[in-house]
Amino acid sequence: MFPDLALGKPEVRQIPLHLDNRADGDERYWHGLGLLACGLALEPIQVQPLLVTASASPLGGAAPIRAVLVAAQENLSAATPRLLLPSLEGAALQPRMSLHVAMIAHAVAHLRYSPVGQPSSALKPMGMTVVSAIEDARVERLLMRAYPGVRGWFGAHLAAEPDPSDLTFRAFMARLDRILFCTASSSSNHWVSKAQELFERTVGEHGLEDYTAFRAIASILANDLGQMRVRMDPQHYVVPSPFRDDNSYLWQHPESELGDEALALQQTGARPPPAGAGSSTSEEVSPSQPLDLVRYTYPEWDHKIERMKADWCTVIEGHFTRQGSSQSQDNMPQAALRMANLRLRHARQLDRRHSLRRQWEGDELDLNAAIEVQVSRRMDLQPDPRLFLRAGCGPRPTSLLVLMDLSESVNRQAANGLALLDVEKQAAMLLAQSATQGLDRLAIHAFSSNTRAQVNYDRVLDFGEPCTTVVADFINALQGRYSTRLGAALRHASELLLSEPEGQRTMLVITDGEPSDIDVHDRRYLIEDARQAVLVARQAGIRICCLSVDEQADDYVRHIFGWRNFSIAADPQHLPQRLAHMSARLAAGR
Amino acid sequence: MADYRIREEPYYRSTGNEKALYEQAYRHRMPLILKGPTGCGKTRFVEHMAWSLNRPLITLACNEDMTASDLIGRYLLDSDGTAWHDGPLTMAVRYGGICYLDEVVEARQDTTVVIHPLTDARRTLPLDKKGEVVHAHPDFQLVVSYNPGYQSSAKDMKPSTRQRFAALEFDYPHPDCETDIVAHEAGIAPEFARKLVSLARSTRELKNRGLDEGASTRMLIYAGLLLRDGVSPMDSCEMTIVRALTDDPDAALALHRLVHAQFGA
Ligand SMILES: Nc1ncnc2c1ncn2[C@@H]1O[C@H](COP(=O)(O)OP(=O)(O)OP(=O)(O)O)[C@@H](O)[C@H]1O
Ligand SMILES: [Mg+2]
Repeated sequence: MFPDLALGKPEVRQIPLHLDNRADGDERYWHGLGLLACGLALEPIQVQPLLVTASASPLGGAAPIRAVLVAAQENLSAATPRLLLPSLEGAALQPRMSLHVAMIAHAVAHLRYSPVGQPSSALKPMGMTVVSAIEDARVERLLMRAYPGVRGWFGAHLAAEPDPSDLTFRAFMARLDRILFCTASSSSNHWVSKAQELFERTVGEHGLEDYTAFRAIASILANDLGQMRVRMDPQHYVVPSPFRDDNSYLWQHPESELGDEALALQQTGARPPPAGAGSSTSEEVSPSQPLDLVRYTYPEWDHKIERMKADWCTVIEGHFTRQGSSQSQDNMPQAALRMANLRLRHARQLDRRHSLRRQWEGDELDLNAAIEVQVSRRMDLQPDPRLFLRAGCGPRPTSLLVLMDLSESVNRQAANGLALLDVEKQAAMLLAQSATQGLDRLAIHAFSSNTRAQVNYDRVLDFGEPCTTVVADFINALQGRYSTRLGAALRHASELLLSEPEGQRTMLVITDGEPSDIDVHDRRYLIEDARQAVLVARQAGIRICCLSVDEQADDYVRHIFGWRNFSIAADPQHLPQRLAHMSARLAAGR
Repeated sequence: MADYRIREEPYYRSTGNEKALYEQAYRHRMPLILKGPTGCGKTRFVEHMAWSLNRPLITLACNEDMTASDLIGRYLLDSDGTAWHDGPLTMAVRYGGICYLDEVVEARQDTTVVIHPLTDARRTLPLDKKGEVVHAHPDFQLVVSYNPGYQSSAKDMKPSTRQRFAALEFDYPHPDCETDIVAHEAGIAPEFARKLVSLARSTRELKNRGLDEGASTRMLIYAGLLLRDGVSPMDSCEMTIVRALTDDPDAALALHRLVHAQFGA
């Protein structure tokens, strides 16, 4: 069913490597690879693009880059192993996936079967390389024993057969890779057939699990190569099979190498110092803030340690996003858009609390009707046979909370001179007015953040509040400031929604960019946190969707909100229509 | 009531000392919660215990529309008026059966409170509408199941309900044991069953990452049944596991690859 799985024939694809120092955008792609890795490894493992700038690579920009596998560290900063894959951005989707999938399987083989961080000091570079290559073959065989299907994944990207005249070290290693992979083949080269014989004999005599036995034959083979005067250029050597990692995982090097350097380029997790002892929330009032504030603390998800950090964020409720409510309505860019009928439709859903009486058939007897049947019978009248109760379709109370991102970036002007903020205001206004006509419970809340100590939250229009001119003034006076710590705002909004009457509870988030905050440097961190907040809200029964005006948003928005729960308005001007459309859809329970 | 007696021994592969513990609890007619992920063998276990203790078993799947009268009973219509009909719980209480309420948290809390007087020292069931108080038969026992995994905090048992029960925790069986179960239930060769179990382990690793739950023992049995009938392993797993577990195309692709790793050529 997935066409990109045309694996099986050993063929080498040349994939142009495009090195880039920009974070790879396609979250979904990497997320999917991560799932595969966890499933194969049977333990959590993070799969991320390897960020290598041309200058940072000791190989220069042109040489192919191999994957880097980083073992889990005991300290909390890296509780799970990480696999960094060259992002292969220039490649077409299918060969790119196919190579990444093979890279993942290979790395999983190391994770499951290789001893990590062996001391390398006793070995010369060539010895180390041969030991690594034998180890690669050994663990791949073990993995193929557990998962026979991965053979085809490796086979598709095995190093090409070198020209017979090629007697470089790399050519020997390519032949070694091939002879150990294609067990049925044979070689006319003495060293290669010796390698095959030694390897297969060790498999038979010691079993694949015996690391030391294989290390011993690797030493013999490396020694032979030395005798043959084969030379290696350690500076420029790259393992011939592109799906294999650089094997830095296997060794504990005295000095730092590519792996470490690549790591240094990876953004590190945000680790702001913990808030004051006991993380009490009330002492952190900064003088510039108004005083009628209510503070709440929420945890935050740290994807690196896969744990919630308790009481990590402080959500402050108040009216910060308003410049003061004195501004008059004429500042508001009046909508040139005519929003015909924004009124929210009621959800028509099967509601069992509301049962339809006197049905022809149903799950239950309508007792009153039954008694009447008896009465009719006694009176020799034709009884009404409709005596069943059935769960009916009735309106369920819908509570819709629209959560607006009011970070600094909403002030950006679009081509037509309108800032997103203006469009957001228009949309909010229309929605607020629609709520006064309809019967739904609608709230419009807004947020922005300035570090985890200050997530500003403004209940612009609260549930059940009529849309008065005061509210209109409030909306009009909204201002975009600071950053977007989405997770904390989502948690707070969920809490508020959950105190709404039972029924359909829905949240619609409007945002213009990905979550960020000035105290967080790991791009994924707040994305993962927001995703976690969404998952928890869903579990509590909240329907939660997102409307984004960031054209590039597809990946992270989908990652956060999930498949089918977002919509992107590429042109901010379309926001009001989209919003109307989405709220109607949500209110209708679809 | 004889209808509720289990005549044949239900196949149950013990995974620990749960049988002995259940017998101890039954000796005191202690109400029990069986916790564990869906499809891991809780229902089968109760069936087996009811058989081995030679008690009738009345099971009832709970849902949020269930009312107290679904448990207790109600007036129904018959040829000359209305007549009281005992609900399943009342039957078990009267005649000394084991009553098994599946997924009890799904029932609304106002429904579950009817079991309160039954599950403390009183052991009585008041039938308010009928004006009767049923004293539980000495053999009666209440067992409920519950999956702590995907329940929302909004849907949890009240402490006052919870604390009336002792609990046995279940999980997917050990791989060797699960292999036996799948091979037995689906009637397939152990090496196929082992592969299915290994695949299940991979999917269970994805719980909370991309999936709400990993593949259950029940799913593996479904896959095994198709396999036995000659459906290819890839198709069997695609249908009973990959597509059944998720709608998300990314997660489905990852699952598909895990199936391929296991069964691909
Ligand atoms: N230990 C076991 N011995 C025998 N069969 C088992 C065992 N565990 C699981 N099974 C098989 O798995 C199937 C599913 O188990 P069962 O229906 O008991 O699950 P459950 O835990 O009650 O699930 P749910 O919570 O969804 O009701 C059973 O029909 C049975 O075939
Ligand atoms: Mg390797």
